[in-house]
Amino acid sequence: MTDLAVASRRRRSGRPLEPNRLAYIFYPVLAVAVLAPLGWALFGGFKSPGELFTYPPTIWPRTPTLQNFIDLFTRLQFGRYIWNTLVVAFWTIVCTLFFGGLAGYALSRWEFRYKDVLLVGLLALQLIPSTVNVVPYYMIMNQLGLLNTLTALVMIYTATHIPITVWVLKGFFDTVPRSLDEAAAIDGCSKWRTYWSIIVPVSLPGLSVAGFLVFVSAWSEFLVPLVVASNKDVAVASVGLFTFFGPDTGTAFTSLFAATLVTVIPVIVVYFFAQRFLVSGLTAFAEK
Amino acid sequence: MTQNAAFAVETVPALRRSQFRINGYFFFLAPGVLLVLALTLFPALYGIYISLTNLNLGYAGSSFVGPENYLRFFTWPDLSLVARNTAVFVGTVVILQVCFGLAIAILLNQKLIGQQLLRSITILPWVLPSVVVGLVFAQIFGGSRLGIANYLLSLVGIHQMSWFAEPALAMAILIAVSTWRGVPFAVIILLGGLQTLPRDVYEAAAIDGATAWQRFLFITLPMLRPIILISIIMATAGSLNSLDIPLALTGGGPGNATEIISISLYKQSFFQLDISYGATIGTMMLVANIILITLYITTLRTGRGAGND
Repeated sequence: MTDLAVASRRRRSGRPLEPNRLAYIFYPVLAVAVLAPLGWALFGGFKSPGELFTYPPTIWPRTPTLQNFIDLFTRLQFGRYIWNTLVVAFWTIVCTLFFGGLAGYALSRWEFRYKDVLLVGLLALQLIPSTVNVVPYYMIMNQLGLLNTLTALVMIYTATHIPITVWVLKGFFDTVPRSLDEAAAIDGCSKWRTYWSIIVPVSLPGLSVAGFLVFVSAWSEFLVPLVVASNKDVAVASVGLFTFFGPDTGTAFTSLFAATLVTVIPVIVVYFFAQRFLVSGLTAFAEK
Repeated sequence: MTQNAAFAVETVPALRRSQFRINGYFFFLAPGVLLVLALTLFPALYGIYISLTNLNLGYAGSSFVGPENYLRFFTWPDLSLVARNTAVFVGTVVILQVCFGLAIAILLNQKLIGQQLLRSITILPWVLPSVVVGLVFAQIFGGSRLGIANYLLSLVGIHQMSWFAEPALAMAILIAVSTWRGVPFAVIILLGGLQTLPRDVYEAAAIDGATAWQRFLFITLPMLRPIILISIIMATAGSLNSLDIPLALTGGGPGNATEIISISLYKQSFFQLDISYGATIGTMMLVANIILITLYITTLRTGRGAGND
């Protein structure tokens, strides 16, 4: 009897569901498939334009140089594009968290008719792609006199990122005990004050998750700024990259790689810093 | 004034308080929702309106012309080419993304050493700006002799190719790069789904002697069905609407061999300046997207309903 039980228990926790060690074969394949192109671009940023096209090609730069980066920030004025991107991302995060937070709080704390419809409706609106909307965006911003302004970008990004922020934040606010609200109400706090002085401080983790999501997305946005703000003064990094290095331009590829590196670093830093939150936030959104 | 009243403290008499409940959430909710409506739903509707005019950025003024642009769209000589390109592109990318996505998600779901690090690496392309991805791969494949890709192929004895001059090759690269950028998203969704599958079912099957392949076929696939469906829908929408990578990588070329519908929209609107025609293509894409969004939401609902049973 006992022997049998032990045997079956051992079997249950034992072999058949052990992870398959053959899986290790695919580890390097996968890592190389992702990292090799990125590595080529990374090392390319430190090569001289001549070395990039030597044959056979070198992987590690033979004479590493920072000239590409110097070039990028002086002659090509890439710093301005990065600055524009930062400004737009910053204000987008602020506006999105402000409006999305309030809406998320309302959806978390109040019960009202058509609440589900509203939540699903927001999700559906978020899924209207910017490809479909670029032409109207161009016309709307033209009529508002906002073409080639960063304001136009902040407005559009904010609107398109509010839904995901609402979903993420509503989910987070739902986990904040209602007793906090009730205690605040007993102490005479209005809902408005409760939100700002009680809920927001305890929800900083949730707000950061939403902020990171918005940052990564706003930083990479390309089509909308290409159409709405392509002027040199207001171009963001992705547009700058494209107009410098797009199919019809002759700028050196080494500068492209340097610019790529500069553009990608903030996103990668945020990614490795907040990866778990980003992924779980996104998964939650995709499955709701 | 009214706003202050709406946010008044909870100690107001019961009657006022019930009024506050009606108004209160409205002030929290309205600004955000209005902004979303104004810059997602309104543009979409406005796009439909533009498609019914003859607005052209090259000429001043415009007038209402009704369905004329749609007649032009359906008699457009390039329509069959663009439709075929789009179908090939979207179809292949979706299949590749979901298959690779599922395989990699299962790989990353194994509790092995280094799995966390590999997961970070795998998901990395998802955060990279897609223009950057397009431009970097454009350089990697480069011209006839210049790209690193050609060098690597020459090592295994394949002679050099001018990737972007050959229609089929250009399309293949476009598909490959879009897959590279899109797989992580499928992995994220599918891995999330895999992690919700109950372990005891697998244990029971293993005890009954089911092989790993049988467990995949008869447990993972059926139980993961809603999530797989979601990732198929997302991949379809993602590739149908993608414009960043195609624009940066091939720009629709050579000729218009890789011109997919989104590229047509961009070219017609901002190269030909025929913005009402661009809006017409946009409206056609909107219809496709509405179908996808509806599918997505019904899948989520039924998936969730089944999960609650």
